[in-house]
Amino acid sequence: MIVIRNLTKSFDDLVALSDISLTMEEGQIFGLIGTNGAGKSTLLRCLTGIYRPDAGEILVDGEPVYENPAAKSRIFFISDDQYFFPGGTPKEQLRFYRSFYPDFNTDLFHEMLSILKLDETRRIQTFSKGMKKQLSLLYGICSGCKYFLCDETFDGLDPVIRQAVKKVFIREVSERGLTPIIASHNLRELEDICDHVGLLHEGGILLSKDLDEMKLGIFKVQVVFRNPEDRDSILSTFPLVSSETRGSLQTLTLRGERVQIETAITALQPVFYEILPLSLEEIFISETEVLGYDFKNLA
Amino acid sequence: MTSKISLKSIMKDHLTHRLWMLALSLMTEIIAGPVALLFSISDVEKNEKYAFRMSQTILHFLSSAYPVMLVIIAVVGAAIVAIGGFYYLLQPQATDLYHSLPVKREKLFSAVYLNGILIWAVPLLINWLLVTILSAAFIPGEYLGKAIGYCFGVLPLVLIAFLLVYHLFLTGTMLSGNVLCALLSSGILGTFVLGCWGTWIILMEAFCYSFVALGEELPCIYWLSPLVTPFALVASYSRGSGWKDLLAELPVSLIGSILLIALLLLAAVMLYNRRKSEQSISGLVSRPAQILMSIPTGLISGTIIARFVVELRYDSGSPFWEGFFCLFCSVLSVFLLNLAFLRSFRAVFAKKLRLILIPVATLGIYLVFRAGLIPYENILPDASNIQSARVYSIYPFYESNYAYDIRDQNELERDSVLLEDPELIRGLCEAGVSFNKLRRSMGIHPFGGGYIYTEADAEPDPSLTYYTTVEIRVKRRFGGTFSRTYQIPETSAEVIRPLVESRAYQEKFYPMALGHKPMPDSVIADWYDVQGDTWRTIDLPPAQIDDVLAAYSRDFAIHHTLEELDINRRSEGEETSASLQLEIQYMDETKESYDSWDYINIPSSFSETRDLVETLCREYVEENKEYYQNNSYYQ
Repeated sequence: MIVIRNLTKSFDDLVALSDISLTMEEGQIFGLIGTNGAGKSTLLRCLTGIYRPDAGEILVDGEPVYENPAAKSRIFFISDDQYFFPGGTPKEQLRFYRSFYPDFNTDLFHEMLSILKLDETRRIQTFSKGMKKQLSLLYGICSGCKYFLCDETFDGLDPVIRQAVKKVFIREVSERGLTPIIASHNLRELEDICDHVGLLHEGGILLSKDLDEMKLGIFKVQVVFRNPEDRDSILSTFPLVSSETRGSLQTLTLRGERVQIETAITALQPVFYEILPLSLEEIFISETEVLGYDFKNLA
Repeated sequence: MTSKISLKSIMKDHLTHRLWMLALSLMTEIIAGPVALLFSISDVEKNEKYAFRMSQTILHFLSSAYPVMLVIIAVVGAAIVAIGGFYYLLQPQATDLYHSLPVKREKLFSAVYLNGILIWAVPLLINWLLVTILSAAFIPGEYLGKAIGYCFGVLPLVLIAFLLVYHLFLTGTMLSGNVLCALLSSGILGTFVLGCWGTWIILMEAFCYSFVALGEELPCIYWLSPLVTPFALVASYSRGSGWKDLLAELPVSLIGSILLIALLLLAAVMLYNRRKSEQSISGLVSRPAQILMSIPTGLISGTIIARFVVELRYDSGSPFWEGFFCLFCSVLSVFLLNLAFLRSFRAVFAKKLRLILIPVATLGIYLVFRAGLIPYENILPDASNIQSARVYSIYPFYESNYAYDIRDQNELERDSVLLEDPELIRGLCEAGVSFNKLRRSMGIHPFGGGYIYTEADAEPDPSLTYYTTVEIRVKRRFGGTFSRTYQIPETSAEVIRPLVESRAYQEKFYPMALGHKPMPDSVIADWYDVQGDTWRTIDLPPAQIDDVLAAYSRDFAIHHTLEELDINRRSEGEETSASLQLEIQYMDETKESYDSWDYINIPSSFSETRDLVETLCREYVEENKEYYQNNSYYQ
């Protein structure tokens, strides 16, 4: 388990992370989402022990991570722009990782390398962006580490490989308790795979919830009320996340349980209503819209 | 499972990705060592002196060329391995990789640090072994001990040079976020003391009549400038007899260097431990370091360019242009340096205080010197506090030009005369100070120099024409010394008469005239032929050398007053002072080449010597008439 308590990290005058507290359970796939510049990469680097926090603590299985080889040996990090040795080959890079990660599964690595048709003697400089990404993922998966931190994992991967990666993650989670922590903007991909989601915005944590629980707590209601006052009645009962009106059709994003929302709506006998679950992307937009991070404001 | 990766394993892995450095190191060491040695002995002629020549060639190689090449490789190599080894700190992606690994950063540091030393040391040892074996194989037995001594002697010298520069560049790298800043900060840290000292010398020599840089502070300057120290050490080592001379000349530099090696390593380790991973995207993060480096940069560049501007002009300089270029260059250098450090124009312009204060301070310092506001010139030693003084050769009252570079007490005593009369000493200083005051009051500045004319093409004003240059070093009773160089005007000549006409002075500075020098192997006369209005350089016939030097000694015995010894004084009736200089040469042990020489200035009052040399020269010119007629230089 990774526990983050009151984590703060600044770069000169810029506060990248402000008083973040978070828990990442073992054996779950954690999705770290956030607006641009929210601090996702900074958080991952703090978790890996690259950055030293200015305040707070990060515990990996109860041990602080910074400058702690024992804790760091359980973590494998791949950044959005992974470093490979100039002129090096996958074989040479493998040798490098094996010396630092003694549980590295070389057989699995070679097996997956051949499945992905990557030549281990070819210079990595000649690989495409996607191939480099695949290679990084292979190293991480085969490292034998418990926690696998990935920054922008799915960028550059084709749809087939993305599906393959997801399957591998799921398999590794169930077979050996791997805990991937994935930072990404690709919410559709994360939605398929993640159990738990943390939403960062401007250095702070907006929410951290089980994905299903998150989806069960917020709904989009499209409704045509008979009376204008009925809207106020609904809004007085359920917190409003966002609303949109087109003529008499109102689209309300409400927090609450579906059954309760439905009961309240039907009691008002509207002309029309429909309750729709939100996708992760819609939840993200709605939650950040509340804080003013809205494309309407940016346009 | 916890990774218990060993230091050896990290070193091996790190080295695998630095093989190019090892290859480069090995290649340069092999070329600079055994290849260079074999090359240098390959053209030794196989004649009856083969053994001697071979030994001389090898010993010369081992004592001069070899240590110089090794030090150059050590200095350049140290910079490369320091920056190249810790290159991962200068690239954000590489920093992410290395700092995410399950290994303590101090272990990483140790591995990379040791690798840097090994990359240099292993090829050096291979080089050294091969050179030692080859030297032992080729050198005659009687010189073997000396050769082995040189071989062993060079190792600690090169080690000091390497460690000094290695730790300097490590410190620079730890301060920086990219290669450019690492190079800049290391370069500035390694030379700023010398640069500041040099700037001070330039200002003092430019604006103070009486300033003399004796160079006693040089050892301290050297060891505080780690980029320069290796070259100072090897110059001293290869100039003399190796460590014996080095220890005699620069003991302070050696001890200081060893201390500085430790200090720089400590600084590098501290900076590494405090270094943040995010520093790898920045320039030079430390604000105090930015300011500390900007100050000498602005000061040195502004001052040097301002002086350079003066040199480009024919007059004695223009305060406006000097000030303009001083300010401009100071601003420009501070701006460019901070642009490299901060990596953004906006950030540089935000540092207004730095951009304004440093150039203004530089200009202020320059103007203070230019206006003669520093009291250096007017200070006189208190007569009651004068214990003694050493006076060096007084221009133009010496037999030959003494070019000396004073660094130790032995040299100071060897090339000087001891005075113990406080009144005489004080009188010399007073005459010099009052002449300086007179010239300044007339608006004549030190950088005007030379003879001063009141009108163009007119005769020089005797009250403004300096007669002699006296370099004096006064020892005070209660510690401290007072060193100056004074121009004594013709009107104050009586002040120096007791000194120049004293036996002690003449014994020291007219050794050939008094028979204290051995007879030279050859003499060349540099003679100004008034009749032909041209200079002639003529080898005197060997059979006549004794006669000429005997005439010289006789002339000296008769004409040794102040006026008669003045080499610039004309004889009665002469329109110009006929110049005559004898170049005396001495051969080396083999008697096949010249290895030392000196010059003797013959005053115009030495009529017997002049007449004899002129006769010999005219005979020579007559014998070689055709050559002189066909040579356009003599037309």
